[in-house]
Amino acid sequence: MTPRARRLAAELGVDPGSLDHDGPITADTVLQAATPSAPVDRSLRMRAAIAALMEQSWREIPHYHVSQELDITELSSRIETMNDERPLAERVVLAAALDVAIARAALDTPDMNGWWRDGRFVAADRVDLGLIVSLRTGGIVAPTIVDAGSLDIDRMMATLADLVARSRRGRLRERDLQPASISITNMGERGADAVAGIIYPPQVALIGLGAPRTVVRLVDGAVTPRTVVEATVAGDHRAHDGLAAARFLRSVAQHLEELP
Amino acid sequence: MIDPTPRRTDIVDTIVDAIEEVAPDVEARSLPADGDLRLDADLDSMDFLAVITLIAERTGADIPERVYGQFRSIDDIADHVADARHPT
Repeated sequence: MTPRARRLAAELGVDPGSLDHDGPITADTVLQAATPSAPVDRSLRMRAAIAALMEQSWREIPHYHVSQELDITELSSRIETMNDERPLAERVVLAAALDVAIARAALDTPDMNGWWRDGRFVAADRVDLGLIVSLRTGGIVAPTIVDAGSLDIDRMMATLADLVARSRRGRLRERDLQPASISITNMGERGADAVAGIIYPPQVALIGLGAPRTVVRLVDGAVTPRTVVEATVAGDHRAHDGLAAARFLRSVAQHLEELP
Repeated sequence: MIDPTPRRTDIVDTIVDAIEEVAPDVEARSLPADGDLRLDADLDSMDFLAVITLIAERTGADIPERVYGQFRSIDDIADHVADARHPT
């Protein structure tokens, strides 16, 4: 019996002795056997599905990780100025700018944008951006922003707001759940400094964004506070290597300079 | 004659309702009025913008970008709405 199955059995009140099985008892066996009086929580099923996917990814994909500190001081200031002149309903958040920059960089660096299939890399012909959205009640969903590379910051903001809201209400449509060609996991304002993630197969890259934080840096020879975000590319080393990831991250930084 | 100025308790109710709508899993009514709202209700930047947008719509108060970035508690928001000039 696997440790996870044992834990699940305890949580769900399933007696392992009563299980009908061939070979080792797995989490799936336990989930299927859970009786109506010990209902399987939807979030438990979600957790099990995520676990299976992450296990597969870690087992099959040779991951490497490359990080770059993105200085967003000027960008934040430009966003604030832009928002100040707009009604609330038209304001944008930093995450929208980051997503636009990442989508555009993915267009610039095709090695990062596609899938590993049948022993080779298949490039996508547009950027379908996968988001990892944490549900407030626990668990995650991974909706997709189709053709993200064509969106300006306002369209991105509107799409994001809509998608996140519908994700949390469990109202995602088929179009939202299309396979992505590259994904982002964003820690948000109160996350840790960086996230080196696990790729969502069969994609070949996952971009991890740490929480924005204030640090001290040297700018033009002077010590000064800057706002930065640590971006970490998790890459499939079969499809590309660290140099491609570094190029990608440089491209992200360049696009950020041109936003909003 | 109807007094058009909303009372502070009505303003706080509007704020709490907005939080409840954006974050239905949070016990909005039990949030401390002087606490760190973003932390207490686990609101990220999109959630917070959504909450403030609802409040602005429902109270008619103008909430400039530089001001809302400084909001920390429900009290902060209520104070601002109570003082704000309501655009006609």
